[in-house]
Formats: sequence, structure tokens, C-alpha cells
Amino acid sequence: MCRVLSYLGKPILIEELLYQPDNSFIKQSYHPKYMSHLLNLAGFGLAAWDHTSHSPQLPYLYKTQQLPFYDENLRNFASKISPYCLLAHLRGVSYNEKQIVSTQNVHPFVFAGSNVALAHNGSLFHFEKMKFDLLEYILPPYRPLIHGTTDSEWIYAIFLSQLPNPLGHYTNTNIVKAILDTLKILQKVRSKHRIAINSPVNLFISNGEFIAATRFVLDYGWEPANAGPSTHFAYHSLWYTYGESYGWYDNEYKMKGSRTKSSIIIASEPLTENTTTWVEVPEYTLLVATLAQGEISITSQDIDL
Amino acid sequence: MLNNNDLHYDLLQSELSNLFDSQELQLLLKRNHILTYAAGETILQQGKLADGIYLIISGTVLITAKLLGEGTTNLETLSQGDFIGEISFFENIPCATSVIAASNAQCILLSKMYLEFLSAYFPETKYKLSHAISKQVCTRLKKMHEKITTFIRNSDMTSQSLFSEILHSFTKPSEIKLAEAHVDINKLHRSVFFHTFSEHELETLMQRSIVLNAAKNCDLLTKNDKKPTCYIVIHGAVQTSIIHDNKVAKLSVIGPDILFANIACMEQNPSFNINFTTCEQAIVLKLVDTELLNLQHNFSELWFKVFDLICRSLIALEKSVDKLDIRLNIEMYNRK
Repeated sequence: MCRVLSYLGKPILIEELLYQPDNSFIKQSYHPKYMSHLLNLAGFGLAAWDHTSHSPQLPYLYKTQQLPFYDENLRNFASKISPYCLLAHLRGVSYNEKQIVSTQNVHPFVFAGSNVALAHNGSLFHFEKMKFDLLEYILPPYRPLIHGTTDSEWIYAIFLSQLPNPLGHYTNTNIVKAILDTLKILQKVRSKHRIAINSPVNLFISNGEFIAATRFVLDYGWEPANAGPSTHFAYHSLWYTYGESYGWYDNEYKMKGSRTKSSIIIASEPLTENTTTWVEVPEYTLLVATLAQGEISITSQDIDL
Repeated sequence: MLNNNDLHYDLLQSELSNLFDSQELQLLLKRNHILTYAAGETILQQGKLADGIYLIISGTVLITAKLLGEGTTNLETLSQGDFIGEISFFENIPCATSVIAASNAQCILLSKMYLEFLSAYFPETKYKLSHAISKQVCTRLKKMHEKITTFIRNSDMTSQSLFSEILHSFTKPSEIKLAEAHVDINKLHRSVFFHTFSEHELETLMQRSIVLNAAKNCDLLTKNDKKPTCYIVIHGAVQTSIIHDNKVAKLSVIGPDILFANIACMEQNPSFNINFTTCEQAIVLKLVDTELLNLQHNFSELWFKVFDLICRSLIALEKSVDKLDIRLNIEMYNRK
């Protein structure tokens, strides 16, 4: 199981999210609170959008297959950069020699010419059987851009192919439709190959203007016969907290309460041991957060394919 | 502070004597810590794990919470005979609310060890305790259900389509043989919920169940089901929801190796109900009212264990209803 963190709102020093809270994102790589039997050691990546940067529509990208808690460069730039939107991912894969740990497999994925980033927490059962049937749903220009071996990058390519354009502004309707169409394509191809085994698809998508996140599992509750315990048979969690700004308030890390809700964090697990100011998103839900006139609005809907 | 004899006398005069006999009350006092709080003192802190279930034996307490988007809110006042901390304790999650003594108050802390001790040596007392907790949970569920249905009525949430309604009304589960259900009894036995059941008890449960194969979108329990019914999910998943004015607000999903029950297991002709609908194809074991009665009368030890799971399923529902209430006030949920 991987971990994902996304943020949209007032500019925030990356360090405040990655390192400072008591269940900080970096800590989740070696000491996750949920599903702690699988550590997230197979790579770290982030995409961050900053209005003051060159070409602000495009994110900073940082990816490494190194362990993030030993990464001095990451620590250094996390203490200098204050983006208003961020999507970070810790890759967690099972401990065996068949796994390919490489920078190409680190999320979030952002193809050249696009500003849309996607990170995935989950795994498609028997992906190798489906993947070439997925090709027909990927627009030709995106096909050569798949460099890695993960199911997640293919999901990204399918998602991008459902959008009206790879770089631009999207309405909530565009985003929701593209996500639901992507899930339907996965469902259709699985059905063609008679794959009906539990496969989590928690997606986190952003272009700096919105964050969309799903808490979803295809064929939840169906495990292969004689399967041992696996993180991929559980319903992966999804949480959010929102408020004026995130930081150290009243002796703890939390969202500052205020009438104006200017910031939101959506993550696979809360950044603090105290989860009471976090809301757990229910299963089969699609959440979209947007920032307009300094105010976050959250829409959610059931995913019923 | 009163000593145990005085407390025992007081409890015998209280409503708790309707639940427990004199010997059980004595056991309760002897085996647990009695905690005394001055007015204003915090009994349970929001965000911290409850180390047991608290039973109020004197005084009143205030339930308060810092809610996301709402600030600090006083929720309700509880008094003698009421339980607190049950969601945190059973679900192993931090308390969603703080509990503060509104007057000088005393509580009995029912620890995990005591509850396990009761299960092992005094299962009937544990059953009475679970029954009392479940009753209280149902009262809270009813209150929250009313609040949520009022919200739904006044909201512009999308209504179910006619197609969806027709689909639900035509999708019925079909009965299959136990052998066709591919029940992995070892897996069930290893699960958190059934590990206290012996293999023989699990087999008894299966023999007394109707095995159903239910397609996706099949209603298993609706407002029309007024008889006590339990299900155990073997494969697939079941969605809980509140439906009002043909608008659906989804609660949470129940996956494999979990038992769920309807409100009728606690209340005759309940005035409210939660819907349970398959959200994937599912294989489930159904225990109908007559079988539940049969277990109660002829397999008391097994019944106590089943009832413990009924209690836990209601507590899980309570947690999801509380979460939905918060979400409805934050998110634009299922809007046009």
C-alpha cells in the first residue's frame, strides 16, 4: 500500500506537511499508522504548484527512489518552498525481488505537455493480463510517454485521454466525467478478462486548481481462493481536513478554525495522531475540492458504476 | 466519596438494578475502578483513545466536541446508567467527543480485561451489558436518523432514478447451498469478529443460516423489514444508507467476515431503519428471527457471542451516522 498527500489552499512551507506533524508524511514511509505491516520504501515523489515560480501552471516535480527520510536535498528544499498546491506520494510495494523499484515508477505521474498530475494508492489485480487491452483507451500521443511498469501510470494515461485537453482549465463536470469514465474502462477490461478480484483504485489528481480523490475498490470483498493476508484486500482509507490554514495552533498541528475555509488537505491517512479534526471519506466516494476567491468548496458523490 | 457498600446500596435503588441483579452489581463494583470527577473535570478527551467503557453511576456529564467547521459544540447531557466511550473502545479509534463532568460525577471504568473476564466466566452478565449498550446506541441512532432525514428532506440532493428504483425492486437474492458459497471457515475463524467462536459454533451458525447469492444493488434489509435479522458477509460487500424522500445518503461499507443486524434486533417495530444493500455481488449468510430465537433459547453461549457482534454492528452504525452528519454540513454531497 502506498501513501498519498494532497494540499490546496494558502501557500504553505512543504516542511509543515512532510516533516512537522506527529504522523508526518515522511514518517508514514517508515512508521505508517494504518496497515503498518507494509512500509512505504519504494520511492517518493511530489508535484507542487507555486504562483511565484516560472510557468506557474506547471508544477515543480521531484522524484526519487531513495528513502525520503535520508534525503537531505528533499529536506532542504522542503524548508524553502511554499506552494499553494501539492501532490506527494510514497510508494509501497510488497517485499520481493519481482518488484521494480525505479524513478520511472515513482508517482505522481505528469506527462510532458500536461499539468495534470496523478498518484495512485492501490493495485489492479492481474494488471499484466489487462494492460494491452487498455491501450485502445489511451490516445496515441500518450502511449510512448509511458516509461514505467506500474498499473498507475497506465491509469494516468487513460485518465488524461478522457480529458478535453492535457493542459488547461477543467470544470468539475469534466473532472468527474473523466474519472468515472476511467473507472468504467478498467471495469470493462477486467470484465473482458473475467477478473473479479478486489482491486483498490484510490486516485489523487490535481492540476494546481483542484484536487480530486477517489476512495474506491473494484470488486471489493472478493479475494482469490487460498489467498494469504494482503494489504490490497482491504479498503484503503481516505481522509481530509479543512480550515483557514494548516499549522501549529493550540499546541498541535491542525487546521486553524475560521469562517473562511481557505485550505484543505486530502490524504490517505491523517498527519496527526489526533484524528478528530479529520473526516474519513466513506467507501465508493469521489471528492473534488476547488479553490475560488480564497474559499475551498468540497463536492462529493457516490461512485456507482 | 462513597465506599463500595454504599455504592452497592445506591445502585440497587437505581435504574441499573433493572439491568443487573445484586450479585452482578457487586461484581461490577469489585472488579472495576470507580472514578470520581469534580464538576468541570474532563472524563474523556476528544482525540484520545478510551481505555474502556465508562458507566455513569452518579452525577451528570456533558458531551462536547470541537467539530470541523463548527467550533466547539455541546451535544448532549448524560446521567446515571448511561455509557460513554463505546465507539472509541470498540472501534479502537480516538474519541470523537470530549466528556466533561457537569456536576460531581462517578463512573465505573469497564476495562478490556473486565469485559474479557465477563465473556469467559459470566457471559450472561456480559450479554446484559451489551444489551444495555445497544439500547442506548439505538436511542442515539434514532435521534441522529431524525436529524439526517430532516436534512435530506430540505436539501437538493439528487433523487434515485426511476431505473435505479426498478433495478432495486427486481434484484432479489437467490438461495444457494452452503457448499456453493465457498466459505473458508479458517479465514472466518481468524477474523477479528469471529475469533472467539469455536469451529463447532461457526458450523452451527452456518447450518442455521440461509445462504444467499445476491447480485449488486440487492436490498437485504429495508424499512419494511420489521423482524430481527442478521447477516454475515462471506464474499462481496454491503452498503449501509439512509433513504428518505427517495434520496440516498450512504453511510459505510461492510466487507467480508462481518456480521450486521437491523434495528429490529433491539426494538420491536422500530420507528426508523437503516438500509443494507449489496454494493458488489455478495454471498451472505442470513439468520432470520426464528433462528435467532432458537439460538437464544437453545444455544445460549453461542447466542451471547452473536449478540456481542450485533452490539458491535450497531456501534459501527452509530459511528458512520455521526460521520455522515458532519459530512452533510461540509460537503456538497450528491447534488445536482
